[in-house]
Amino acid sequence: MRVAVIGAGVIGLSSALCIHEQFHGLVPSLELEVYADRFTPHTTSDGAAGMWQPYPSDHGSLQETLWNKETFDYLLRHLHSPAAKEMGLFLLSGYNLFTEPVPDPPWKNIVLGFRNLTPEELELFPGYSYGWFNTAPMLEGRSYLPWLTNRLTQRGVKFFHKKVESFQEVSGDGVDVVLNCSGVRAGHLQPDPELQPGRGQIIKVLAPWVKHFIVTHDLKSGIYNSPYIIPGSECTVLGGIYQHGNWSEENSAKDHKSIWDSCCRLLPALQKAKIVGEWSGLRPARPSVRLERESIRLGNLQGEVIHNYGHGGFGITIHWGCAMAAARLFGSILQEKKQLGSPPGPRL
Amino acid sequence: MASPKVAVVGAGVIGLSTALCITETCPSCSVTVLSDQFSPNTTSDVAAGMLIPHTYPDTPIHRQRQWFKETFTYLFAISNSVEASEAGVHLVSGWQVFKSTPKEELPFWSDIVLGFRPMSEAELQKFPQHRFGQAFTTLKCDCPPYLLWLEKRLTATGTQMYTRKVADLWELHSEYDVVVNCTGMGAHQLVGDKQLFPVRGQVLKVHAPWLKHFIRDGDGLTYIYPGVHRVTLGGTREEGSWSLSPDPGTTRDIFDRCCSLEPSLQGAQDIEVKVGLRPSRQCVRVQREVLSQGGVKLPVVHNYGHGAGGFSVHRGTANEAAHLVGECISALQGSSSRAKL
Repeated sequence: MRVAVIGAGVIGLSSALCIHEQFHGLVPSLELEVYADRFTPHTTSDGAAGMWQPYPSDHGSLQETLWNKETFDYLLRHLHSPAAKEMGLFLLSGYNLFTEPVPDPPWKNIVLGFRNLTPEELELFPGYSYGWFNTAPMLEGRSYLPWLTNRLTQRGVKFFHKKVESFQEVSGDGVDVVLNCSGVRAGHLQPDPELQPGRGQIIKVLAPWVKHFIVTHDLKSGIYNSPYIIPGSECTVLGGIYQHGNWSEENSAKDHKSIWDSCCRLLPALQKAKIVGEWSGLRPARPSVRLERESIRLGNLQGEVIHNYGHGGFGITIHWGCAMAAARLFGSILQEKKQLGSPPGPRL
Repeated sequence: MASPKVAVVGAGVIGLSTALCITETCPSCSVTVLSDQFSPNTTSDVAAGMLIPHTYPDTPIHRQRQWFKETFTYLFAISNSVEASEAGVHLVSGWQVFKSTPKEELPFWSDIVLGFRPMSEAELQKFPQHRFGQAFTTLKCDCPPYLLWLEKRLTATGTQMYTRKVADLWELHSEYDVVVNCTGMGAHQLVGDKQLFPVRGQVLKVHAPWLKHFIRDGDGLTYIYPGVHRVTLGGTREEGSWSLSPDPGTTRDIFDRCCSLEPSLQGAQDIEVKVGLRPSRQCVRVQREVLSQGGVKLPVVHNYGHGAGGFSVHRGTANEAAHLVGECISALQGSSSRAKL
């Protein structure tokens, strides 16, 4: 049973690990291969700050809220494990700021210690009159992706540096299932007009005195188009750009100025912070995550594709719930092929 | 008296902040700081600088509250300004956890720190050995940066600072009009205060930059305080011990206790061990005194004995001491004084 995973961002690697963990014991012939044109540290996931936080409202998607919760619980379970540091996992508290009262988010009971901000706290943020305080995990892509890669390598999963142009390309030679985790460029493999880049730009600074995240919201300009400051273990990420439909991965001077000015207004001490990097990335934006099976003609045979892409700006937040869902879809494929519980036989 | 000369003895957080307050309340004063030690070799440099008050048994609570509130307000403004990183002053959130529910669930300072509330059940799961906890946000003054920033502010006002061991306050009477005694543990010798006693604290300063929260056991013995560059792990409270030498067994014990509160500390690097003697007293001595010897008078203002709570109340006691200095100067200038208070 050969499975080809396309994409080596957080979604591809975690789905691969989840499937291998759950099914390797049951299907000894299980072989996983990961194909990607970009590996860590060059994936979209590597640029993300890594903060667990869904969008402030879920537009009614209970499924995504559940996947977010599964990921939260999974991360919290690992917080005290010896692997936490290597995974880039730690807790972070901070502020979500608004210019007017808003309803509580669907994840208020998922995060730790959710509460409204007090008037004294709001004094820190002139221009903002309402907000939340809570504690949630941080999972830094620059550590998590190498950790996932190591776990997969230990399990004998093979990696191939290659730009995949079609499902057929990876599914010759007896590949039974393709796991499509190609993120923002999934449209190259199969057109999907609902998938668009949500371009972001960030500035990385040294500001080790900042111990809280600060995420502002401007309900008029939309998600992530308002300044945010997220401290990591090595540097602090300044951001606040979301450009729908913009494919450019070049840093823009105009965006730099916008981020810098707005973040320094939020936290004046940042003016003294040393800039150590800048990066642009494309969030794989979609009205909802595409997580479903599809039967595809692969040469003379029918093959199965499990799509798992379109996680927008919340890939880290939702990744494990989606990986588990992808594993369940894989399980049902195995059932249908009667791979589960049957004696070893010729490979299909 | 055109330009009263004030000597401040001591250059820890109390001496430097008191000197600064005096320059603010008495701009015509000429202030000089004298100390045998300056940052990074003061007791203050060992401390984490967390704004979590220590309760003094014999100081009225309303006075301690006032000191803490003034200090918190002062530092809050700095943390929110462009100077925050240079001053080493920053906000930090975290948890104080108790193995058994404390008698006093609401400490006197709970409405002064930010967002104080009991921890939720979900939050307490992170601390399986503890059954009650408080979550809040407070401030931290990192040393040496905070002391160096105070020194810089003092220099800008024209205040001179000299390394000098003062063995007797009378040494200063011919050069200075008022002497301010901010000698911390040194007051035991300098003014013979037998009510002052050391409480030895050993701490570790480690590199663990993923730690963003403070964690403190309500018993006050085990704590984890993340600073700008290093995390302070503590500690000990050994009453009556004068030893400034680090003890290796204690180091191991502190590390183990902190790791059981925060397992990820196993990955901490670059462990540095430090020892300080908290200058402890049943009440902080903020008081005027006129020393008299052979017909000569020397006005003295004492500001020492802050024990474990120096950073938490430093600005409040400095303000009070500066006010007392003003009174001394008024008294010296007679009833028609125009001393600025």
